[in-house]
Amino acid sequence: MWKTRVTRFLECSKWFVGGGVLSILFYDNVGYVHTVRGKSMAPTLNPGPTRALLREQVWLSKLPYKPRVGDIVVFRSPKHGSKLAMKRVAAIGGETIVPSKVMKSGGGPVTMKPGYVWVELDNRDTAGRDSNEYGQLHEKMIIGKVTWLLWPGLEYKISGRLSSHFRLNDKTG
Amino acid sequence: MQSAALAHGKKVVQYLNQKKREITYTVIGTSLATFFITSRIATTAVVTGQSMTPTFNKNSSKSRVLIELMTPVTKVKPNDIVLAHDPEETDAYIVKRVTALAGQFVDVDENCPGTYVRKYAYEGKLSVPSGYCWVEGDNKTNSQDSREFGPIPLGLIKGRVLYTLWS
Repeated sequence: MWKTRVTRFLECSKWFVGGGVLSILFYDNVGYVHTVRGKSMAPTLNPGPTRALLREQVWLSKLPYKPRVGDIVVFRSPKHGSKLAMKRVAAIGGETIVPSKVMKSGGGPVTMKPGYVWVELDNRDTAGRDSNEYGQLHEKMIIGKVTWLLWPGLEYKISGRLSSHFRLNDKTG
Repeated sequence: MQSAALAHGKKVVQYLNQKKREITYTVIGTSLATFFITSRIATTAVVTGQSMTPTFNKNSSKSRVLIELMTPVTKVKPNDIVLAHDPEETDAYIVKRVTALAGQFVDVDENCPGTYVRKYAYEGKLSVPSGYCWVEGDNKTNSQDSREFGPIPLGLIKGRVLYTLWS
């Protein structure tokens, strides 16, 4: 009698296990909904009030791709290995950039090593960390790219729209 | 008489089609399960080079090792052997031992040939910044590691090497 019960339980549970595995595979390789925290990407992306319904949600795509200038990417923070950060790519491997902190306080242009990118925040009025603080970011620290703003409103391709604060200089100061 | 043979034939075809379906599902299911396991739980890799002798590759040029991918990077401890993305070559990986964590100091030999060590060591010591770790190969004379390229961010670590499967 218990034998049929066990068999039936296994029969049903395979759907749960299969569904769980597929969801995790989707989460790892296709993408998921990610909540914006922090003001560093304002006004493009805002954390909003703390009530859950009003926080901004974006679609974080994990499909394989190469980072390009203007992309908003989510990456593992170099300062805290377990935390994620969201910033915009300012320069990719091989390019030269004058970082924004240099424009304020002097220094020289920086050339990206191949396989490294420079990330900067959009919102200059925030005390956020970006490459100005921790230097070039290894491409493999990037876990995905923000492609859609899902809530509130629905906007595609917020990556690629350069904000007005953002300047890219390639050789001259 | 003829219709009986036809009916039997149809049943055979149905049976074969069902078996084909079952085999397809099994193949798809097994592939997905394998992909899931090797991307999230554990996988194997081939270690080449001599930078980790005698731990790996003492008598050969390649060993296959078992790697677990489930430990969060914050739980990495000194003396763990890790698989990490190569800081100098984007699509390559390195297998090295963690010798110091963030906040700890690395004792460096004055005669150490490493570029990074020569540039940044002060009074024979280097400190590891927050979010990073210091990795070195077990074969100190023949290893490109943190003494050359500096500490690596924890985010580059993929998993810990458990043991050698075969050499």
